[in-house]
Amino acid sequence: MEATLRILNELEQEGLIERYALAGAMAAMFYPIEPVSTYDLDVFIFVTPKRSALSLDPFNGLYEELKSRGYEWQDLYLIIEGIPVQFLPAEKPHIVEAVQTAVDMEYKGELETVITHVPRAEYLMLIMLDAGRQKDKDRFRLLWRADAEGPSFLDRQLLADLVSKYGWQKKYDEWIRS
Amino acid sequence: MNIEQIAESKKKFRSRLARLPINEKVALIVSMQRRNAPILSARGVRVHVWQIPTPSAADIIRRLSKPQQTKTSD
Repeated sequence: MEATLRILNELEQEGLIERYALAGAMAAMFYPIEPVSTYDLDVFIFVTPKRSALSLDPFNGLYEELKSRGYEWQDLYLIIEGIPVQFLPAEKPHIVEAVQTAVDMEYKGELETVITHVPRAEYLMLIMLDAGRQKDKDRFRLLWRADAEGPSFLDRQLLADLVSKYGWQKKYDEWIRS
Repeated sequence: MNIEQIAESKKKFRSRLARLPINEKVALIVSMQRRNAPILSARGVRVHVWQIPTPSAADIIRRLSKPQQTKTSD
């Protein structure tokens, strides 16, 4: 895992990615919730404009670079250091904010310690509300419950403000009640 | 053990899982992937089990279960 995260950091340092943040189940795992089943590593990215200007596919330069390093496609994923990675464009306003405000967290692996960018839990929960699938609701509930039962890590006022700002009040009320 | 004690014990175990360091959570995720892959494959769903070095999932579970076992044997 740390090798995959190191590659993401290299892509950012080399300017192929302007900024990235982990997403999905793996991002949620950095908070005090129990492990949940997942098969890929979702990564939100801002692609550097100068790299994408000449191509219709904004990810083209990134994919070419990873291909030149020997990483191969399997279905929708690029297998980077043993992990299927899916790059997702950070386009929706709340996702842009999530990536911009992501915090640096340590991954202490078997081989090395790597710093990676993880969205604040409030933004992860907002993204879960937007996605709205059963697994998103389950993860939302895990984070909500973990915050209530253990040492608090959620800024509930920030979450409420974000929910109001992006118009997910009804679903939010339903999910925190269920 | 009555049903309340079992429920409480499960809650404590989940709480210990939640507090694991991230690399140990990843080890448990990979262990789940290994167990689920044949089942998913039989249903026609292809998954890629992560090929990464991780701590032993069995050791992690054994360690987490230890305080509970000690308490029960008292």
